[in-house]
Amino acid sequence: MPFSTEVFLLILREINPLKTFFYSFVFLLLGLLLGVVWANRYIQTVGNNDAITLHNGVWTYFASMDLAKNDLQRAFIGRIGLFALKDSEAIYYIANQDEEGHPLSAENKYVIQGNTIDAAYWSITLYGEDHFLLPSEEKRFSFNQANIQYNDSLKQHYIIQLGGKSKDYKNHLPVEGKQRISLLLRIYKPSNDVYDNRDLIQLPKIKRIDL
Amino acid sequence: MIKKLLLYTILVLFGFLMGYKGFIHYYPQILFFGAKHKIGGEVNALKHAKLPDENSRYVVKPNPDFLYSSSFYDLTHGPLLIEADVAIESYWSVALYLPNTINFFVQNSDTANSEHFKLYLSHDKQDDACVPLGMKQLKTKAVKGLILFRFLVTDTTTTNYQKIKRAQQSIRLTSIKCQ
Repeated sequence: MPFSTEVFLLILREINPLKTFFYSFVFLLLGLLLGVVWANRYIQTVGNNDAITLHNGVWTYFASMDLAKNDLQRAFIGRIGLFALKDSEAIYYIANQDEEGHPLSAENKYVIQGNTIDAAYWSITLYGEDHFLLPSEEKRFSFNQANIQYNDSLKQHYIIQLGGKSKDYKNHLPVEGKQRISLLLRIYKPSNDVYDNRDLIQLPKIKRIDL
Repeated sequence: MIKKLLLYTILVLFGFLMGYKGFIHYYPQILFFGAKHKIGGEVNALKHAKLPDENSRYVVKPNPDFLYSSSFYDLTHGPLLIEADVAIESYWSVALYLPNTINFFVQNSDTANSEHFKLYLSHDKQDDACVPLGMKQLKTKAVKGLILFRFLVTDTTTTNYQKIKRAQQSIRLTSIKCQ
């Protein structure tokens, strides 16, 4: 009989197979559950992972939306933007904080100052903590290049007021409550210049103004 | 005792690795089927949505500027012909997704080159014999997936909006019985 088989049979005689099998199953299951819990929490941190996300001012974006190559990115995108398009079609920038680095909050008042973007369509949309649209009496959830009111006759520059009870600017995204909020800048069919310079193009600045 | 401790430690670590990798890999599929359950409707049938608002809670981050139409398709019983009359001025697109949420096909108002969109969607293992001559064909490895149309609406007060809604309603899915 081979030596390894003898050793195996010796160990088997020493331990109680059924009991060992049961406890082995329990510990395997425990490990499995811990792995799932850890993965679920880790997915949430991808947005702050500099190895996967890039930054342009306060805006975060992915270097590539080829989700076949990165399971972790695909899991994160699934959670915060299920059924996003690949980057040949659209660029997505997300902002969760203001220029000072503080998380955006529904309790505060901000101005978003930006310039129009060379693309077929762009929009800035406000979302709640749960990634859905927030209640709005005016049904105003976003602004796009067609319905925004520009400051200049060349239609280049705009200001959007985010939050705040009084409407001080022509473009106003109302928001109430106390939750964290985020902004999604969508750019569809961008020009080559925009697409090739996602890290450098001038994106809107977000400044808190109620301090 | 030490042998048992070692065995159980190895099992916990192995289980952890399996759980961690497995969850990250399959999580998008869970979300896919979760969305399918929320949106509802029959397989290979269309669901047209109105412009999203705070009550639109089927899929995260809906774009309030888009009219969406979707269909969770199943090619088990044959290919699918996807058609739409899209003689509209504004941006529109059709995207197809695998059950793991990867977007494997997109066509938009610029790349479609036609006012009448037509696409023959079939599974890799299905015969090409029934593909109509000259029709754009797309083969997919997965039997199931999602078709998602997007129609851009920047102003709901113009006649253009009515045209866009008609384009949305014109989408047709036809199951092809290929013998």
